[in-house]
Amino acid sequence: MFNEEIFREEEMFREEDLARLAELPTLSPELRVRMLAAVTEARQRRSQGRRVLASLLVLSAAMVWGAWTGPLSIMSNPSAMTSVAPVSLRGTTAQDSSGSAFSIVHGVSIVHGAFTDSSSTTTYSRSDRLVSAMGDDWLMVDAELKSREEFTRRVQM
Amino acid sequence: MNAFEETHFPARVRNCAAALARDGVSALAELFDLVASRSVRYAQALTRHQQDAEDALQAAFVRVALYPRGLAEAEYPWAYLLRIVRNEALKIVQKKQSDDWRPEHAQSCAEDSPIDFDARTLVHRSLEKLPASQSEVVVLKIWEGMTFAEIAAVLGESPNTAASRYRYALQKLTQYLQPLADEVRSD
Repeated sequence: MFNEEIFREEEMFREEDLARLAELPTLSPELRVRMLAAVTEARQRRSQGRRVLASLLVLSAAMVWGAWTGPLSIMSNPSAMTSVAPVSLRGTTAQDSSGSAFSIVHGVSIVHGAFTDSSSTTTYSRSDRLVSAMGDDWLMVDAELKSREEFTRRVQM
Repeated sequence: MNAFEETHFPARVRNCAAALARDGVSALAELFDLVASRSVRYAQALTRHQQDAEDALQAAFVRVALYPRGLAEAEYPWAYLLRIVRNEALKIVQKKQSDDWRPEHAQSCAEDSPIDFDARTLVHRSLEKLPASQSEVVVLKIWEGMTFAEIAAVLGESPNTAASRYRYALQKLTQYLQPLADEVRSD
């Protein structure tokens, strides 16, 4: 470790002289007011920044919630579809083997049958898809178990 | 400033810092009144200009006001505050250097000016001739009465580095202040 006394004996004279000559500067008269104003401004800026950040978070949360629970696309809403789709899109109509009508425009086929059942399409959101996908999985498991049971029963017979 | 104030100054800074963390900005003015002159004197050792030193102090206080807990929880609040002032002063110096401020100013500082036997002026001019890294150690050691450990906390260097800078600074000051030394001896 260093020794603070190392320089004392040698430099005592100069240190004392320098210490005696210590002089505090005269500050600008407006420095105090200027500093307090700067502090107030900085605090306001920070609180404003926090408000903006909070608003952005709320907005993005609302957008995520909307995207999660809202319809997947405008295609799922038949009324919107008919009002938005250009005339050319409503042109060609045909019937498939199951009897549901569909349109073919520039390679894009739109099954009208899906639009007519509004109860199933208006709630067709990402969350619904996830729930239904989870349901599908359980149905598959259920079907698998049933088939195994049936197989076992058949083997036993 | 008398010896009592000198001894208790760091303790008073600590009390002010605690009040600032507790009461908020209302305690800031008291801290300012306590440390402003000393902080500007220290910052001036780095910036060489009082105006810049005051700007550094102002920026430092803005930082302290935004994050008062750092000062209140510091081991040496006075050293911590000086370190903030130092950082702000160095930012200002760096900015001025990039604006091509330094060459002409550095030249004017380095020039040997006619010997002024007014002791205070001579000391200030001598300090200005020193590199900033050495003059700040002199200010902290002699005028702020800090130990090398405290100086090291301000500089972010080891105490040995602070001590060696101080030694080099004193060697140069001995040379610069020879006229003053002769005058004092003759008295």
